This record gives sequence, structure tokens and C-alpha cells, in this order.
Amino acid sequence: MRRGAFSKGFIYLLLIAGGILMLLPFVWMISTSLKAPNQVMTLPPIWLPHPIEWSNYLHAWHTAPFARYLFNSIFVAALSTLGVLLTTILAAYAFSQINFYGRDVVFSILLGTMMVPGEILLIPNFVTLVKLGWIDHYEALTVPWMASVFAIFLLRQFFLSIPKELSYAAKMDGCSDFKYLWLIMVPISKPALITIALLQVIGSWNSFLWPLIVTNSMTMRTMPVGLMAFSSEAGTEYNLLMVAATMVILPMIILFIILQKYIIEGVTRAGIKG
Amino acid sequence: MKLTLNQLTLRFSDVTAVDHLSCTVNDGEFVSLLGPSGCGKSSTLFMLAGLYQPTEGELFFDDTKVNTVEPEHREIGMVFQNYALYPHMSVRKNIMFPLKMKKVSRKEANARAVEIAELVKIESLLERKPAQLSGGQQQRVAIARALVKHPKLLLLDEPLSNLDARLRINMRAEIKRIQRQVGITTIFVTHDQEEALSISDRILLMNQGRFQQFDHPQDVYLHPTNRFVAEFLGNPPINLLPVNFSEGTARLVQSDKQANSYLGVRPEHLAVVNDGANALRGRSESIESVGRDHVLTVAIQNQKVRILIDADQPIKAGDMVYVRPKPDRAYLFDNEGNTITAQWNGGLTDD
Repeated sequence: MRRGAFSKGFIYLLLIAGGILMLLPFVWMISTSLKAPNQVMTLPPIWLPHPIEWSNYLHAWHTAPFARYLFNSIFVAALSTLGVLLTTILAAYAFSQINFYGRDVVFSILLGTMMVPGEILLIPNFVTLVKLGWIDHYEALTVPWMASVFAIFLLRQFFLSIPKELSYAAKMDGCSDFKYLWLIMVPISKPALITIALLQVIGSWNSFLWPLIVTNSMTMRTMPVGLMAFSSEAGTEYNLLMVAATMVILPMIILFIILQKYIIEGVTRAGIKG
Repeated sequence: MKLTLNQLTLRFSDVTAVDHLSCTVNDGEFVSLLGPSGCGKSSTLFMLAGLYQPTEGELFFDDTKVNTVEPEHREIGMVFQNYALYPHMSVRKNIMFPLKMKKVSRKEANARAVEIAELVKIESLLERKPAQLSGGQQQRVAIARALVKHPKLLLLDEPLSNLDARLRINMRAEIKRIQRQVGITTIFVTHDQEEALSISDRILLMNQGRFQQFDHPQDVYLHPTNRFVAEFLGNPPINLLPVNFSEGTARLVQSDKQANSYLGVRPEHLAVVNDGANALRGRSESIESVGRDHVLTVAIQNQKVRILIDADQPIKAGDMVYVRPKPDRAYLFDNEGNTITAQWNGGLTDD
């Protein structure tokens, strides 16, 4: 008993230390976002800014069209997530339920594409979009992200775990394949679908390189790209940059707090089944 | 609904799951498909359901050929071994689902769901999810869902095998009661002989995809058409002795090589007697008690036979005894396992 309590205490101590280590950058970010410019780079570092410069937030908000960036980020994340869900559900159904010729070969090839680093695809994809005339349009920000092999794989595994008798039962009940997918399989797979949606939203929200190269005008930029407004050849306004970074991260933190249960469940599920 | 199978055959790439099966099931009859695992009974059921397409042969519901009719147009209800309830729907929604697919109005669907729930005695569980139910309750929901659209044929695929022994006997009676009450033609797949013997009007026995016998439970048990049926039914299993059969007399032989036929006698149809006429002499080896009955094992030459005896018979291990079969309850099978119809006069010797 005593030993158990001791080792438990030790584990908690480690976890608390790890937690602090994880939190530190965020604390530092918020702290910097409230500092006057001359306090940003001092040594030893100032942890609690004095005076607190709330005006940084107003200032940063007006430096660049953040309202527009915010709208773009939300719009792009929502659209690409919806797209991913749709293509994933259909593809996972095909790869798990329909016995078509060459299915497993095609699926293996799809899995193979996961091993190609995204950077290699940047230029070919860019060229494709130029030819389609999509550069600097929402299509460029959303359409290439509307299919995810990882998501298909995850959902296919989930679909495969649904007993075949359920589809027989549905068939006997007069349910077509299409209705079976939407009325039975999709509701059963809700946990997996939430995981996929969350991963997609987070991925879309955080993406920087892709929006940077496929958009030119201010009106098409997303939040992460907008952060560049504070860096120039003359230097970087760190306190304002941290204000913007806080604004970028805040929605994700809120999302995490609300959906924490699903995220953890989803990640562990992916670990077990994947 | 009357059911007719005519030379029904199902072949997968290299296996014949069902081999030229023919039979007729009468309207309102309760028929068990019985056989060992892999005998083709589930494949037969799936063909009836329309989930498998027969490779050859014809399948009639009443006078309509249904070989290519889709499952949803066959007017059948089916219960699966693992119940296959929709886990995200309440019991009520599960039962209403087939009606919803048929576009029955919500109000009527609900009324019918409640009615059928009362029949299977789950009316108090309608708002629960399947995961909150016991195995027996899930079973009842599955039956309700199968029956709610008033099908003409009910298919049950090993519905009791996931339940514990006591509940199984309970549900067996329940299924029979529900079937009687609804009066629906029912096909029940099982590998459990006791289940089939107790519940069915008739039993269809299959082995390796082939028809073996189709008869009332007592007839299947007492008049097996071949050695497989005789061996498959009965617990403890039937005794099979290698014999040379000629001119109405069976003579026990030492080995299978010398035998031209086999004498099959169930343990309850053997009696321990005092005289050696038409009897076999052997040494009593052991007596084991299985509940009410005692099973006596007797070694006759190099064969062992089991006999059901009364608990008060004064036989001890090591005694020399005579064992005589009831002639009208003993069966002769040839080397291929077919029943020999030639008259046996009960003549039996062991030398």
C-alpha cells in the first residue's frame, strides 16, 4: 500500500512537471502578447508584464484584416472537413463492403501514398492548380484537402469491425445499401467520424505552407499566414505577433476543451485499431 | 406459406456447400435444419433469405419461384446468431425500422411495434439501447423486429447458441410459443440435436451439403435412414458393432475388415439379461451416473458398448453379463453407412 502510494505520488510529480513544461510556451506567448515592446527581449525574462498592455490586442487586430483571415480560416476548415467526411465515408464503404476487382491492390496503393512526404507534392500540385486557374481562390485552399488516405484507412478499419450480420439484417428489413450506409453505419461510426473531423479541422486550421503558396491577395489569406504581417525586413514585432498567435490558438483550445473526451477516445481508438 | 426446395445447390469457387437439396415445408410448420458445423444448413438458410443465390435448382414460396427475388421482397423475417440489433437505436426504433423502410406511417409503425413487443414480452424495455439488455432480452427484440412486418416465413440462424444453458431452454419454449401464436412457417438452424428434437415439428438433417433425412423428431431418432443420422442423434451416442450379417443372423467380428455390416443399437435399447440366446457376452467395466440414469460400459471382445440401466440393477464392475438388443430397435448399416432393409430376425452371436 505504502509503496503504491509512493510510486503514485512520483508518477504524479512527473506528470505535473511534464504539464508545466508543456504549458510554459503558452504562458510565455500570452505574457509576451501583453508586454510593451521594450520588455520583450530583456534578460532575465519578465514573466509578468508591468504595465499590462491590453492595447496590443486592439493594435494587432487593426494591423492586418484579421476579421477576414478568421472568416477564411473557419470557412476553409469547415469546407475541407465536410469534404473529407464525405469522401472518407464513401471510400471506406467501398473498401470495406464492396468486393470489386482489384480492391486490395488499389487500397495498398492508396496506403503507399501516405509514405510520400507532402513537400514532394507541393510543386506538382501547385502546377495543377495553376492550370485549373484556381490559384488565389477558395478551391485551391479546400479541394486538395478534401480526401485523406489516413482518414479512409481509419474509417475502413472501423467499418470492418461492424458485424456483417448487421448489413444482412438491414437488407432483410428492406434497407438499400445507400440507406444502410447513412442510417446504420455512419451513426455507429460517430466516434471514428468525430476523430477524423477533429484531425481535419486542426490540420486545416494550422496549415501554413499551402495557403501561403496558393494565395496572393490579402483577402484570401488565413490566420496562420496572416501572422507574417508582423514580420518585416526591419524586424519582428514580437508582442503583436504573440497577440495574433494567441488569436490563432484560442479557437483550437476551446475546441479541445469541449471535445476532449472524443479526442482522447479517438486517438486511443486509432492506436488500438490502426 | 409453403416452401419447396427442388435440387437446390450452392457452390462456392471450389466447395459445394449445398448439394441438390430437395424438400417441402408445409404452411405453419416449424422445421429445424440440423447437422454438424459446415454441413450447409446456414447456407441453405441464407439461400431462403435471398442473401445467397443458388447455383442450381429452384426455390418456391407457395407457387412462386423466388430464386432471384431480392431479400426485401421475399416477405421474410430473420433472426441472427448475434442478434444484429442496430446498436445506436432504442429497442422501439429497432423494431420500427423495417416498417420505416416500408414507409408505414409513424403512428401505425409505433402501434405495431408496441403490439409485437407485448407478444415477445419486452414492452417495458422499449426505450433502452441494445447494449443495456441481457442476451435473452436482445434475442426477444430480434424476434420482434423480424416479426413486426408480418412476414410469411421466419428464419432463425442458431438463435440460442449465444445464451447460457438455462436461458436457452427458456427461450426455446418462448420461440415455440411465439411461433404457435403467430402461426408462421419457421426454419430454425441449429447444431444442437436436443434443441431440434424438442422444438421442431420436423427435422431436416444434413451432412456435407447433402440431404440425410426429413422427418418428425421421434422418427428421425427411432428410424434413422442411415448411419450418419443414427450416430448424430442420441446422447450417449449409439453403439456400433462390426458384424457379419447373413441369413438373418448377425455375428460379431473382431475388426472392421471382417465386417460386412454394422449393428447399431442405442444405449437405452440394450438390456442386460441372464441367458445367452441372441445375446453378447462381455465384462462389465464401469458404471457412471449421469443424473437420473446410470451408464454401464461393457467390453465385448474388443468392442465397448454403453447401456442405460436402472439404478437398482445389482451389477458391479468386473461382472460377466449378457447383453441383448431389442430387435425392433436395432439397425443394420452396410459398409457405406446405408440402412440394410433386409429382415433381421434378431439372431446374434459372438463366436
